[in-house]
Amino acid sequence: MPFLPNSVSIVSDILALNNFTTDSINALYGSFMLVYEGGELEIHDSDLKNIHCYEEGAVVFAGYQRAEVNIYSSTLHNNTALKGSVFYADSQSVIKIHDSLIYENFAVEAGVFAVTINGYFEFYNTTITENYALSISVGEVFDVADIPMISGSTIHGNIIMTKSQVLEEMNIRCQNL
Amino acid sequence: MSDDFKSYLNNNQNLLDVIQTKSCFQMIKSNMHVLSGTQVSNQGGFISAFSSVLQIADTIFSEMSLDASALSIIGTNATIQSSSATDITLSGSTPYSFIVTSLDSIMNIDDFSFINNTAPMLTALFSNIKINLLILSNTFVSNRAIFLNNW
Repeated sequence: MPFLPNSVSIVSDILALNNFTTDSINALYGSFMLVYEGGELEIHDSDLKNIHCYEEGAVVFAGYQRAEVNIYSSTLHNNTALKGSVFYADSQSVIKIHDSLIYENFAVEAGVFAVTINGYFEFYNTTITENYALSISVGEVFDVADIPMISGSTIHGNIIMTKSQVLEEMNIRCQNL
Repeated sequence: MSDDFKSYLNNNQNLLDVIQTKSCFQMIKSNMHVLSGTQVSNQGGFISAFSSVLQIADTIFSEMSLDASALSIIGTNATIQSSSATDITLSGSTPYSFIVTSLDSIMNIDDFSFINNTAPMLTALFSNIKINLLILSNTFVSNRAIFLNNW
């Protein structure tokens, strides 16, 4: 995973962001924010939108190992990736989203997120709506021994697309890159 | 850059030739809990679970038009407690049920209301199902509510 000049990288450190807004960010072959080695990221009252990447987890990647991301009272929308347009987690790292709205994100596979190899997620009082993918409209959970959790949340109107719709959507979103 | 990406996609159609999972969530060899007043009104399926452990409690399913089963339970240990499903219909003529279990799945259903639906509730293949406190009141398009088969 490359550390890109337009990324926020958190390694064994703690960062809190308040009233943070993104727009029209091309994260290339990585994620916009990387959290590693027990790093902790908190985001409050923010609007994370129009972040695009060509791999997994355009907005945030929580990786090796035991990293934690908490997102409170924020909106995450119109983000794009090949897999998991909003986040990707592995290696006992966790992404927790509280009281937030996740909508109109798009990926070829896993429209919102993917977690694997004991990465996991928790959604509390969060609305997940109108996200799009060719396969798995919201999230993929693969080989996870911890217990991902969805609590008090609303899952509404997420959509599986056809191949032609995927290519059309890619053409529209690529104009922003 | 956008032209590069578009040409990459156009030249790699195999990338899109994946087996499509028409659910919100896919679990493979994993655990997951869906709890505490979660509301699901998605078009299409909700969870496809393979070789996993799934617990659903206090969850409300409503207004779903299924083009895949809402809960596809394959080789999985699943529990549904204190939950309900209303206004569940089938999309087209595909013979899905709200729940489909197969391949040695174990499912415990305790306190589940399945009311005012035109989709059947359960198709169980090669599975061990225990149901306690079930309320059914529906108009089924097909003439089966629960379909059990052990070849």
